Amino acid sequence: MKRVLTALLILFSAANAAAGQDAWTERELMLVRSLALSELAAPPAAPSNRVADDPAARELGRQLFFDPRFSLDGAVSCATCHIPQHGFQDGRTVARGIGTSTRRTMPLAGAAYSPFLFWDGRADRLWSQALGPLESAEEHGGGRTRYAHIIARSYKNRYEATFGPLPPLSHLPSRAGPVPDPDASAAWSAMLPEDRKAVTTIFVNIGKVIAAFERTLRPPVTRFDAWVYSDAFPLPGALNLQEVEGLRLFVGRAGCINCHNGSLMTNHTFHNTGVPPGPVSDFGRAKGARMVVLSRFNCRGPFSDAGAGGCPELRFLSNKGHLTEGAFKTPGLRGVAQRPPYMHAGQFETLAEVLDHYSTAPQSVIGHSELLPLDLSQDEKRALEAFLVTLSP
Amino acid sequence: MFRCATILALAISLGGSALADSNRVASEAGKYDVELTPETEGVPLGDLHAWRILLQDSQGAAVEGAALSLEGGMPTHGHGLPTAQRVRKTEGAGRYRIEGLRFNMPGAWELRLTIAGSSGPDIAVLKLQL
Repeated sequence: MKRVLTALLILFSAANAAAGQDAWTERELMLVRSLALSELAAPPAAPSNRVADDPAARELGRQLFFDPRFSLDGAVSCATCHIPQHGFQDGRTVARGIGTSTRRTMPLAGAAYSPFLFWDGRADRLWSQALGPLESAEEHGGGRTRYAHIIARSYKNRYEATFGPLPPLSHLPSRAGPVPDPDASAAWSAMLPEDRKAVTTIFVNIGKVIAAFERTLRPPVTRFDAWVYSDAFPLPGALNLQEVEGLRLFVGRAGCINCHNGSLMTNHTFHNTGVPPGPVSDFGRAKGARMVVLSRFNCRGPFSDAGAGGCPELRFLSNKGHLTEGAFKTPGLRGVAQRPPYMHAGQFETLAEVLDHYSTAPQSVIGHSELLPLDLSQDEKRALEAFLVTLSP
Repeated sequence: MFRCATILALAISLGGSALADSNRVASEAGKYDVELTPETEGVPLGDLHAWRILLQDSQGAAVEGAALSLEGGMPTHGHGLPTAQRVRKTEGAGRYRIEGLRFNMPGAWELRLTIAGSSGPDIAVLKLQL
């Protein structure tokens, strides 16, 4: 193996010399291989969700994901914004459900690998992420009793096969929940505590089965992966010379790999990169880190199946202001060229605009940007963009 | 989360002198010898993990009851560690444990262990390349 690798390196050195390039270093090759999809193991265990890997729960979750009745007007499902044919996102600057959100829809493939969900990480479990939009006035806009009634009416057998008998629900209001809507909120407050708990348990279980479905969503093999697996690697082949040059910048001088690392090309952490503000003043992770600690639906909360010690991410969560103010989660880059616009509120329409931003590294309006100017040439930016296009099938 | 294949080279040095085959460092004022060992096979990129600490004084005697705290980051990037890691005493003479450590970027990292023990205050610095 070593001999083969040496031979390849010599071959490549010759090709590089012909192309006026330096040879790949061992470190560069190691970094490139670490981005390949073959490096992606099975999703991490989900002790907070006992049905995370249950096939029946997965199928129920798939059905609920596509069911628009889980909304105020019966027209918004998870798939309204997370469109399967579009990489489970919607191509809009900000999401549009019942109303208009202030942030861009995130794609779902690989979400099960992320310790914190949403652009600000305000959910620490995939199932608790799914609950947020269901109660958001701008997204699904419904309340917990509405969702519980739909389960009892349309999914009783499947639900009970996984979670046991449903409690009596017929005496409960059709629209009640701890939501901003004053009528629904008042109806929720008027319910008995045991009814609220029973309905919330059903609501949480909806999140848990949707999470079981979402755990199966893996990104597809890309042209980049095919090249890494090919005999030509690391010589141009399935990737042309410009694309390979872009990759070298990605793992080298441009430093993209600092945050866009691993096979999902995200470090799953939060960074202030000085992107222009979206439609609202958004403090990102600074607020999200506070919210996830306080959430009743976090890994340590009463609806989590995780035992003691099962929530290390929350235990070691850092909320240092200078690191979190105006910071947003590093998005994975698989399929990136197919899903403009970019950033947490779709601030950039094209990859070229994104690369211009990273090259110039302007000051942040909120908090402090971690970026330093890269002063990329036009050729370098074009090469990086060409490489990013290879991160799709 | 990621396979060990994503583990990159680990090189450890103190004050610029490379000690690639050792993870023992002397504290800056020479009051302590510190051995820092990741509990994982190599240092993972992205995963939460723990390190073992063996703390000895300059004569090689185990130091018990020291107050240890760990900070660190990437000096060339100007940022600290992404988690709120903790150091606690574990079983064994001079044994402590760093929990909740995460390195979220490849590159040069620094761990700074502040020691308040029987030989007085001191700081041990471990540099690693991930």
